[in-house]
Amino acid sequence: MSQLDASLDPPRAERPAAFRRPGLIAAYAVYLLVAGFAVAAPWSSLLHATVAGYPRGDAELFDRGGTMLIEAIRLTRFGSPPATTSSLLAILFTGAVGLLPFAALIAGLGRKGRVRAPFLASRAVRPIGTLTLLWGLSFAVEAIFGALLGVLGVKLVGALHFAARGEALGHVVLGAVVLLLLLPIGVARDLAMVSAVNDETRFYTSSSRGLRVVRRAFGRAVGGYLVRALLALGILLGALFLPSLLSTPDAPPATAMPFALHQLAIVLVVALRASWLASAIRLLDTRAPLPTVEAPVVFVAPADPIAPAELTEPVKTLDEPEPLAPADPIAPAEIIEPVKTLDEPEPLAPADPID
Amino acid sequence: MRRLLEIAVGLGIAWAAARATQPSPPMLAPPPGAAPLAASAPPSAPAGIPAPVGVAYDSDAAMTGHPEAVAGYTLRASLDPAKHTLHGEGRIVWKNASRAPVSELWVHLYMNGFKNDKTLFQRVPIDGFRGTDTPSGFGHITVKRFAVREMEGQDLWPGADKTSPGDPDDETDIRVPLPRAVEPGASIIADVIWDEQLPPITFRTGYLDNGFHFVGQWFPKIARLEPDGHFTHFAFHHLSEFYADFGAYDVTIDTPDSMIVGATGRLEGEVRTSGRIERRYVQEDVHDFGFTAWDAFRELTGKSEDGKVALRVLYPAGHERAAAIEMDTARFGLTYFGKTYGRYPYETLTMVHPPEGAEEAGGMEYPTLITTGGAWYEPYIGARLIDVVTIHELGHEWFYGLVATDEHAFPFLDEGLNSYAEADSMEARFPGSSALKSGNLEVSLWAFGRLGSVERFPNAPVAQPAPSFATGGDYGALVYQRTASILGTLAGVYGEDLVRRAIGRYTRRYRFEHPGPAELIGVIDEVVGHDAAQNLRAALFDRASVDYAVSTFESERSEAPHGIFGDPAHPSAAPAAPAGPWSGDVLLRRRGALRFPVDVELHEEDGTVQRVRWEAIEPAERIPFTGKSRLVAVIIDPAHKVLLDENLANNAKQSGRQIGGPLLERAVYVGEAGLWGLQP
Repeated sequence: MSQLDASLDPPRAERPAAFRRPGLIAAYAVYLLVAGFAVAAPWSSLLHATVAGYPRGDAELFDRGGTMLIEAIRLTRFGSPPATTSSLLAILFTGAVGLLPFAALIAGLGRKGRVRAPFLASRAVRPIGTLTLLWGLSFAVEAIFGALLGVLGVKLVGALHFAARGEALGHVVLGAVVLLLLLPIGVARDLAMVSAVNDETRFYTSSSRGLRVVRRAFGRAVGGYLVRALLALGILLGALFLPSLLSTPDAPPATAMPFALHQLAIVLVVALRASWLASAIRLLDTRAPLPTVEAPVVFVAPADPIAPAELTEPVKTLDEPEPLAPADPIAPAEIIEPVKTLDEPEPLAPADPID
Repeated sequence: MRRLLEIAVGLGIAWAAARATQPSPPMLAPPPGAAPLAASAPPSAPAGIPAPVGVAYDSDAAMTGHPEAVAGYTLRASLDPAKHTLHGEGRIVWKNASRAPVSELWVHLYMNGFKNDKTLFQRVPIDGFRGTDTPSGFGHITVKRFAVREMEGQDLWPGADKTSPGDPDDETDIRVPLPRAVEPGASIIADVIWDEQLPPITFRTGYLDNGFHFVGQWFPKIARLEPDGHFTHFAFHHLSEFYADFGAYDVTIDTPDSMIVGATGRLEGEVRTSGRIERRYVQEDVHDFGFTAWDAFRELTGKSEDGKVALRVLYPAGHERAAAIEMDTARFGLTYFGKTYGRYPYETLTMVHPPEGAEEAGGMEYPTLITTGGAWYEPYIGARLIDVVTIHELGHEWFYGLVATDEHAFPFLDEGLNSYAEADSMEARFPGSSALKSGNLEVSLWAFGRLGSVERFPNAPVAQPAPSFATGGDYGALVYQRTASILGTLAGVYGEDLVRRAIGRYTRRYRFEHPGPAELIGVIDEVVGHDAAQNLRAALFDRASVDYAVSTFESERSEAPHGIFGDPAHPSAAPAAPAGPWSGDVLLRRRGALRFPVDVELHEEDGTVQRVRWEAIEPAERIPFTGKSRLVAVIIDPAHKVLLDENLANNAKQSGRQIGGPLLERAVYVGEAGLWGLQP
């Protein structure tokens, strides 16, 4: 643990909850807005070029009859490959950069009381390597596993010789089944990321803990994730169609009202995600506690002698340790089993308590 | 270092996964090694001017009641649905309706187009059009007897040519020499017997393993005899097949009694004998006959809005909604087309929705019998494909059926005019959303039709024989979409009612006849005007195009002209300043040979919009502007009436640029939602 962390580390939350971190949820939603713009800009500017000369601008694309919309699609055919590549790169970049606010959100959820930006920044930056690896690997596993399941499923549905409607429904069911089968991967990834941020574990330990929770508390973990994901999906789809339902048929397409509705939906789905992450923190603490954690934060004067302590069992303290008074001598610990430290602690200077 | 490595590996894996899920770009260029085109005559604009049609044909009263009966068929077809074979026999009554003696007959055996992979039908690549290049089986027809009673009952088939002229691999266009000539006005009766093997559903005809059969191009059929005594005959080609003389068809179809049959004409009687059933269908005043048989058909029946036409939909289970749409569409279409193009003269209309796997049998037209298509879920997502296919095939009852043009020489006369009729009628029924209505997204058939129309017009003229099109994609875009866009443009510019009236006059005047492009252009000239006819001719035959563009515009505060006016020694007063406080001009351009007058909108800074008419006679013209405030934007043809305009992006220009808007807002939201799905 760095000196900076020690100086800013708030106590761990006993019962993490999303509603205690509205600021972080809003910040994450702002990040999504910026990232969404980065992803959308190449294609929307390409399409906009067709109607750039028209005083009504983009509104031409939404006119009844779709003449300008089809024309825009036609005229963008040469620009679409680079725009698609740009959007894909933007997805990759913003996805990777998004790990930082995501980690900050986890860090905030895992702590009690006020958390300061330097702490969040520190907690977001330090595990970025582990988080990126987890993200990329889980994405690839999902893609490969999903493709294999999809191919096998399509062959299976084809072999059943359904009628047209039955086959289509079979494919819908197949899609849902594949998503359900892929769900544990996403759940394990989230749990691993929470572990990496909240407990500063490395890739292997994070992954092991994530998988352990999925194994030991499958229903609670996957169910908790699924319920929130479905709710979020409903909110996103509802917000997609709500503006058109609220507008009169011949009204020109609006921007302000849909923007407000859409961003409200984004805030809500981020809150649901935060709720899941808070649940993930609790699940990790209860279902896959670390065998040991790094030595409790010890506020000691470098020169003070430390009395050895005799430990008969591995230390399992996950909640906030009582900070020791700097002046109190601590007996040196006698470790019966080797302690598994996950990050070499550095000598710390006494710090002010933080709220 | 370790962290960097982790980041690099993570990003690399994610990128690779993302790339793997990205679809490859569509192939725009045709594949190499395409077969050479079939020989065909170069297109030429019609030289003669037909006699004026007259206003009498704006109503049904002047319409011909019946055609001259030239080729009548009384046939009996026995179908073996297990072997997918058909045995046929009967007689053909044929009249020499030309001015010259005829010493040979040309007989089309189009079922032989499916005989092997060297026939013309199979050799020519589909390349962008419907159908498959590699059929899963073959079909053929073998004529056993072709005996003409007036020639002493002699079987003429042994003396007939074995292959199509100039094509030893094709057996679909057969010359039958006659022992002696048939004089003008004389008739002959030919007794025919034949056997055929149906192919697996290929393009139009054949069988499906589940017992579905669709039987088209199935009997020996005499080619169309022109007034000068020559036959218009051609080998079976996947882009054209229809052109024949009118007559009466009396066909008895013999099938196992479990089969449900749909056919051209009205059912005159049924006879059941030992597990089989014979159904007799009769129809006068048609030039073709098709039928379908399947034991799993569901059936929906109804009547036209005027109660005169019995409607029947045959469809597979699970397609109830499609059948209901087809029934509704037929009711609407019979009324709309009847009112616009002359009443439907037959008593029946049968619609067949082929089962899954037999989609290639869908979207076809035969007299009083059409096949439709479309997936069951399309109505649920707002796509109107089922309505569109149904109305299109119904339209063929006029453009092919009643006005029997030569599909081989000028396919645009049936498919193109029918595509215009399809879009026009669908727009009348679903304004602005004739192709799609999904939420607030509404797309018209005109917008879709523009796509192929403006993309492919440089490739070939519209008015050329079907085999001359280099690819099926060119054929589809030019014959269907370009023709519809041309007529849609005439309607937009000169008036929808006027063009509708012109096409209606054409279809009424040439009902039961075989007009060519000259007759169509003549009627447009007569009803819509000479400019419209000139544009139509150029667009059809000369690949003529048009692209309007706003080149520049400017405006400034009006001031009295500066300088010396009149005699410098005794200068006169300066001319008055322009009328408005702001003045300037707009430079407009029209590129291409087509000339359509268009509206031009001049947008002022205070929101005032002036609308002026630009005749677009010159390729470039400056339009003066005076207004109360600065000119900030100019739009040519703001209602997009000129569907042929090659590029709509350059039709407007404005000062300044907008940032944001509904498109960006929606796109950002979709981006956010997508990232939410991918995120952590």
